Amino acid sequence: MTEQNFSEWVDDYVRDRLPADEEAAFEEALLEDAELQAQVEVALGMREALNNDSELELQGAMPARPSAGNSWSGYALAASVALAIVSTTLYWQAGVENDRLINQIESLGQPVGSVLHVPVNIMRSGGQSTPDVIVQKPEGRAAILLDIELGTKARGEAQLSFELLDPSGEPVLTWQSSPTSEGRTSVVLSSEQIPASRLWLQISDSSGNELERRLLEFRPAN
Amino acid sequence: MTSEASQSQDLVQRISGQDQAAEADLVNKYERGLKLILFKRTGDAQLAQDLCQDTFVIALRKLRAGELRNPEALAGFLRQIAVNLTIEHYRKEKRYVSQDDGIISLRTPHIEQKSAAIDREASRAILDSALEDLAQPRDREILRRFYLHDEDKSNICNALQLSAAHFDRVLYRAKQRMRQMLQEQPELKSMLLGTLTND
Repeated sequence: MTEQNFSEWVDDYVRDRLPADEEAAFEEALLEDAELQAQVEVALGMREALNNDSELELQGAMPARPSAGNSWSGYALAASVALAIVSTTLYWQAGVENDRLINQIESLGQPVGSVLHVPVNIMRSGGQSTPDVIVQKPEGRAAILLDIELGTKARGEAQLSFELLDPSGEPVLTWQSSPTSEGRTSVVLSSEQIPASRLWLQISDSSGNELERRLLEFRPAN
Repeated sequence: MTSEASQSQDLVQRISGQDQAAEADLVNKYERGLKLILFKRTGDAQLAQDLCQDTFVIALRKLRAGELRNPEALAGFLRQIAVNLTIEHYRKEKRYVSQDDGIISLRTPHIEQKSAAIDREASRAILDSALEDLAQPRDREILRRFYLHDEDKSNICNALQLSAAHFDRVLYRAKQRMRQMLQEQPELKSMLLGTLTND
């Protein structure tokens, strides 16, 4: 591998497109090559500029965000709600999402003790056997809000199908949802519906073609 | 043996001989590259810096003890420690959601710190200026799709009815411009890359 070849890999590297062995070779070269470092710095700078642009736009569009231990959890404690699966888009655009979630919990029917927010972000270092997220299940009956960051393929779909599969591939729960313009989607699940085990979250398009998978580990309450 | 391999061997031998100047040489030589690797993997300059320090702590302990059998593999040795620390970090902190820290928290702690550190209006002004300099609005859409939305070059060209050559030109010019801006505008560099490459 020549230095010139590594320069040609810079964009693929920054965009996580290199296979593991090539990524390792690239990073070893990066450690000892000042010009390659400058090129990676430029590509990362580009990514960050565009990313910050999006983040700042989003911050500007958001109303004041409730603080931790806010009305959601207070509401959840007070509300008598049933816990089933509710798919929702949970973003702060136009200030409606908070209300939407509350309404969906309210419409259900049994009491919940808490709402556990679980960000399921795209991980850069996860592997096939390493869970993307490890969740300690709350004590008692609780709502678990999976806040899912979608990958590129899923973001382009109007309608998505989600399945939680047990280790043998059997579906535990299924639902459908649409991604937000920010490439996220959320779902509220009952803690009682989720077994304490590793589960695959499989995301498919409307034709049933698998687009991506995440490995979630649910651990029993302390 | 290449010059690089020879230098690595020399460094490793000196460190195992308890030469403190060699330890400083090791940090000077590999710090920038390690921070870039860690920043690329975490997207967080402060976290990258913390993990970089931890990488050197572990690496120096092992090197002092003579645990690196093949000194020519020094870069791979450092990289592996950094990668392992990153994985361990996410396993312990970011990916573990418990009832205590998970209730209605919308962002991970490091992202929260990042947001807090940015003065929004000042950042907006610096960024607007940089983005205008970087490319025309239509060309910025190409960059956004490529770097942010991870779309394939062919898809972008089809969607925006561009030739491959035009796409390459936009990318090349934007990179040249970004390189120049990072050199000339320390505020912008600090905003985008934090203390990552203060050299």
